[in-house]
Amino acid sequence: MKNIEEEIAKTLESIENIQPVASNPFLYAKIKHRMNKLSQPTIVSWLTYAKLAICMIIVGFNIITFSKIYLNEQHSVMSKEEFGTYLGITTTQNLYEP
Amino acid sequence: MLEKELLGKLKNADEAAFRFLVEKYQDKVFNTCLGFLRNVEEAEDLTQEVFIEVYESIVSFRGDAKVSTFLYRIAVNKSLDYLRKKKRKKRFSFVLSIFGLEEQLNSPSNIVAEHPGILLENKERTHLLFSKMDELPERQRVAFSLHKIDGLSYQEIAEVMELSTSAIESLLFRAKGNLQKKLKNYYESEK
Repeated sequence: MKNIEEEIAKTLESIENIQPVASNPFLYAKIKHRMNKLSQPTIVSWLTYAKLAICMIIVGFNIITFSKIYLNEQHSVMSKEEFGTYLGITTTQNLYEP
Repeated sequence: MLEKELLGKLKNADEAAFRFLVEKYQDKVFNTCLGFLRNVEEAEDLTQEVFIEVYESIVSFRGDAKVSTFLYRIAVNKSLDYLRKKKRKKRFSFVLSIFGLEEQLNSPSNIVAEHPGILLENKERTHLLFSKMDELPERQRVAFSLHKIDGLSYQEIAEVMELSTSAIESLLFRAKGNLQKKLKNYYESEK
């Protein structure tokens, strides 16, 4: 048990002996280079435009397909009377009307 | 250069003042990032990002804290953000590995790098402690790292973390207690 306590104490102390590390002496030059790069206008590659165009086409196709299906469904619904006249028959209700 | 003078010049985008700031604080910022990331390349990259953010956001800095505190705050936040992103990437690469893209797991960014400031005789112990530190709640980890690795006082940590000194004392006390428990479990399981 005492051994474990000692190990724990030694491990906890080990972090206190970490030496500070010197940074890159050319850090400022690197930062400046990066800042200059960031300030330049970014050129979007043709591949990005192509990807965007494909996405737009897919979305467009989906919209057209869904709207066509929806409109067809609306046309296909007929009332009872309309359906009767369309087929040239009368409904049974009309036969017994006074 | 006085702090007020430096701040004024930085707000006017003075290049010489920015160079002075970088040269004065680059080691401190680098070591703070290194304490969290434990990878020289990643820490250097993040140090550059910290200074760029300082340059861009110094206009909104009201000057109610020291410039060094402002720098530490950005360095800590950026390091934590970076670690979160890395964790997410790791999870994603694990999913990819399930679908047979194992090489993602072996990419260079996933190889555990070492903190160059660790003394050779303490290597094993410090690595063990680092692994247990990573299991601590975020605030405890930040306070413990700033105190033990960067050598900041309770007051300085309180300013960086925007908490009271007593809150920092409590965080450090809990961090130490948690680490002791975790290490005890580890050594007992090793026996």
